[in-house]
Amino acid sequence: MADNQEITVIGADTHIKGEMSFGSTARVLGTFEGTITAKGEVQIAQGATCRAAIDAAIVTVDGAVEGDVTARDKLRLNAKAQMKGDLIAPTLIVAEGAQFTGHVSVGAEAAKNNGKAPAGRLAPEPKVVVPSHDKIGAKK
Amino acid sequence: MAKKKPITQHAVRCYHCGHEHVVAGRATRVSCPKCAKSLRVENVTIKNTEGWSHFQTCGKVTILTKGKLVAQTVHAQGGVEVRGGLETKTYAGGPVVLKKNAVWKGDCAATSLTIEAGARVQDGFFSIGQR
Repeated sequence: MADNQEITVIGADTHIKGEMSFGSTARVLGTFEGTITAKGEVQIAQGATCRAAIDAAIVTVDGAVEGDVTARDKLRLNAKAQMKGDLIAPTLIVAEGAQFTGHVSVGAEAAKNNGKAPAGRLAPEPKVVVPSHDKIGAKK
Repeated sequence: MAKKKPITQHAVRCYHCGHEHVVAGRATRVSCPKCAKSLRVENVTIKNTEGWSHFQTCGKVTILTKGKLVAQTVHAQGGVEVRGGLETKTYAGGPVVLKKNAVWKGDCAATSLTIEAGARVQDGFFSIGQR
């Protein structure tokens, strides 16, 4: 992380409800309920509690998060992380010890499609082949 | 005089009743001493496309790059490593590792999860570290 980068810190004794938007990096040490949007990184520190929908480039979780998380670049659940909610990210890193419950969509396409599963290698679109003699109007 | 190989043993947990017991290292199938049901205890490697209704082993399941496992459920007490494709509901007693280019479709319950960059997860419900 660059030294000159500005970090917004929500202190440990702070309880916020509502919508927050950050231009760069945010670090939550306290309690937050609502929506977080950030162009940079959002860090949920150990001991912090977040009941929020989070949308950021990078999301790092050390504390407790309840809500849907969308990371445009990377999502990291560290060893002490406790998370309930759906995840969408191009890259997901779950450390050993992290607890997590929810739906997961990972991959470049998942992030582009905002979690909707694209037709992939495992789930090809079913091809329905109609024999020519079964087609309506076909000459017999 | 031929040297005898030392007998190795390892602990397995029955995927039917959860009873933990020790089996010989070279054993591939045993009966659970508690519930008497048959158990597959070997590590399994999937090299090609395979379809199962219920795939169960006390060992580890490894799916190679060209392999693909399609099943209703997979019980792997030793964990799962995916380099190819996996389309199932997975219950892993060990870590689940999705390597680069792995494609995952389905739900997962496991002790830990590692997803390497390049792996794809197509909307499954995950429960990690809860067991």
